[in-house]
Amino acid sequence: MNCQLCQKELDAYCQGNLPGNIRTQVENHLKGCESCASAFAQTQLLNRVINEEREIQSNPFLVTRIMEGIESSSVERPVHQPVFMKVLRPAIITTSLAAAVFAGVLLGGFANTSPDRMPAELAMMDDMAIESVSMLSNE
Amino acid sequence: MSDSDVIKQVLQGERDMFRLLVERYQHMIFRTCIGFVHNKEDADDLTQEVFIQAFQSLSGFKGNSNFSTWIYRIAVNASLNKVRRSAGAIILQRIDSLLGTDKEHRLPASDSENPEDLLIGEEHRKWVRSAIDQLPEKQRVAIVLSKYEDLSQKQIAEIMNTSEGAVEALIQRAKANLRKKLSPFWKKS
Ligand SMILES: [Zn+2]
Repeated sequence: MNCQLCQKELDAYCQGNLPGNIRTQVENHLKGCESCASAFAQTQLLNRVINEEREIQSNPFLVTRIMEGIESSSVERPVHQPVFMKVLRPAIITTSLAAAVFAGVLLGGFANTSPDRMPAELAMMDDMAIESVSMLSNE
Repeated sequence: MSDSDVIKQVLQGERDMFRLLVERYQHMIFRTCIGFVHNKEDADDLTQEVFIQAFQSLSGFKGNSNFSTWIYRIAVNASLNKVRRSAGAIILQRIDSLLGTDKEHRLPASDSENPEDLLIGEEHRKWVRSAIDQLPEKQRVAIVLSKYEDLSQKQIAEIMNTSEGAVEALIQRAKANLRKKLSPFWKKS
C-alpha cells in the first residue's frame, strides 16, 4: 500500500469502516510510515473533536422557542393571501411608511436619522439568497 | 404525513402544523449550525433563525427539491452570514497576533506512541475549530455537511447546487488543508 492510498482510507479506518484485509494493510503501512502516521493522528483528532460537537444537544425547549418566535415575528405570513390583499398591501405599506416618516420627522427633529438605512439584521435577511447557496464566495 | 402535505396545510393557514417540520428537522439543522459556530448557544439561536426564515419564505418553496435540501440551504446561508459577522473580530485577533500582542499559541505535540491514548485538551479543540474556520467557504460547507451530517456527496452537491465531482474535490482539498493546519499536532520524536 502506498501513501496516497493509505491516506485516502484514513477516514474510514478511523471510523472502523474498513474490511479486514484493507485494515491490515493500512495498519502495516502506518507502522512504517511517519508521514501517514502523522496524517492518521490529525484525522483522528479532527474526528474526535467533530464527534464531541455532534454529541451536543440543543436546548430541550427549542421547538417551543421556535414556534413562539414564529408567532411573534410572523408579520409576513406564508399563507397565500387573497388578491385584494395583494393589491391593498402596497397601499397600506406606503401609507404606514408615510405616517412613520412623518412621525419620525416630528419626533426625531434634528436627530441623525437616515431613512434609507435598514437595520443590520434586516439588510442581512434581505440579501439572503434562500433558494441557492449562491452567496458562497469563490475560493 | 409527508413534508409536502404538511407544507400545503401550513400554507392554507394551519400554522401550527409547521411544528411537525421543526420537530423533524431541528436536530440536523442544529448539528449543521454547530459545525459552523462550534457552540450550543449560537447554534440554538441560528437554528431558531433558520426555521423562522423557512416559515416566512415557505410560499417560495416550489418543491423542486426536497424540503430537507431547501432548509439545509437556509441553514448554510444563515451560518455563513453569522460567521462572516464574527469575521471582523477575528481580523482584530490576527492584527493582535501580527503585532505580537497576544500570547503565542502552540499546539502541544503528542509524543505518545499510540494515538488511541490521546486525550483531547481544550487547546486541541480550539486548534481544530480554528482549522475548520479558516477553510475557504465552499470547502468549509462541504466538510461540515460531510462530517457533521454524514451526507453523501450527491446530497451535498444538491444543497450546494454543484456537481458531485466538485464536492469530492472540495472535500479532498478541505482534508488536505486541515491536515496541513493540524500538522504541528503530531511530532514523533
Ligand atoms: Zn505513507
